[in-house]
Amino acid sequence: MKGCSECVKILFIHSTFNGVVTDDPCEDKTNFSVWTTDVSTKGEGSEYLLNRFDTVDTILLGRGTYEDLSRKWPFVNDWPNASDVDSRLGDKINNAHKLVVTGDRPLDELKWGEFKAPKQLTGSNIEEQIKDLKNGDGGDIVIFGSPTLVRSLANANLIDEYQVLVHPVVVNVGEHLFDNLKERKDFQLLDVKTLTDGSLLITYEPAKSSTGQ
Amino acid sequence: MRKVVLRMNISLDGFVAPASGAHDWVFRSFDEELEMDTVNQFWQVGIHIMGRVTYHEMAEHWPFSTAKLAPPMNEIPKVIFSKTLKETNWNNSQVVEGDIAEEIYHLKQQPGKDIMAHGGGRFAQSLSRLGLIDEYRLIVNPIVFGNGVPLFKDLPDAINLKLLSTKAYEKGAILQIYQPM
Repeated sequence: MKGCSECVKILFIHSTFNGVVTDDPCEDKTNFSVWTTDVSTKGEGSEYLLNRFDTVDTILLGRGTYEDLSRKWPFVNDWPNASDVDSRLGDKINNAHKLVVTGDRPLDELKWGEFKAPKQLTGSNIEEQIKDLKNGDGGDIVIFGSPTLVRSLANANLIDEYQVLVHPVVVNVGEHLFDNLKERKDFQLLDVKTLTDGSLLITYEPAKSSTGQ
Repeated sequence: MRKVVLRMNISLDGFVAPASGAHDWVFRSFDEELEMDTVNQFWQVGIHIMGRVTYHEMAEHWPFSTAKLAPPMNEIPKVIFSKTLKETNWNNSQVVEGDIAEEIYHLKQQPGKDIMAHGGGRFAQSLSRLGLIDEYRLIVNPIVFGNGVPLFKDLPDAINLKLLSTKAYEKGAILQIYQPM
């Protein structure tokens, strides 16, 4: 029987050194290329992410990140500078199950280009629904970005692994991932990888004492 | 010219202290190797600089401590930046009350080994805001606070950094050394 321990929930998010996870609020919030000047590094980060799809079969998104990503990834092969890794990662992303948390503001229609449309998680008991999801059959679940959703799941101790790609820049606008956390959280460091442009791919899991388990 | 190196402990989400002001979190990931590396770094500099709040914390602690970190902090010259502090009785320390940028410019002109800045939060924020840091040497602790005193505040512009090196420690702290570009 599959249980929580096998259906790990992973967060993958880009961040600046000072913990800002969105681009300038009036722009495209998931346009991280503004933090990266080196095209080869984008590929490097994507390769690591691609490896995660060995065990991941579901992508969980907040509304804002869904809106940004659904405009881009279904059309990866039309991108002007799409690399080989973009296209392989696009294939995984486009064909994975996708769930969009819309809560009490459901969307009329969800689309992912010509691929299978994402499903919505609606209503006020989102945490319960996600617990059920974790207890169900299937592979790991990855959350891309979605800081608002992450905050509520982090507060509910529902995230098993945090993977943060820290870009070597400090910015003065944008949202912070952990704003309004209910209480401090202790982590355990699992891994640090240095990418060629000086980005760090850092992986943490919640420390045993702070998950209440 | 000698460099100004900011050396501080921060949380994963970029705070130098939680809202409560507690310090215990720093010790949670402080292990023997990190202590040894820190002692070596402390000895390698010519002047330690800090704001008033950090001065009070350190001057009440290091002169009475038997830790390996105590000798470099007690013996190496220290400059405290404050407009209200009149005098210090910590060994080899002096107060400057002038403009931060000017005072640091003067310190950098003097010959000698690098200058290490220690905080507190508001002092560190001023140094970054004024573009006075030549190297960030930050110990990123495996903890998130959600709020508190941020390392960076009211920056006029983004700061692009060059990663010089990193080192991960047994208990999960990561030393990250960056140079502003």
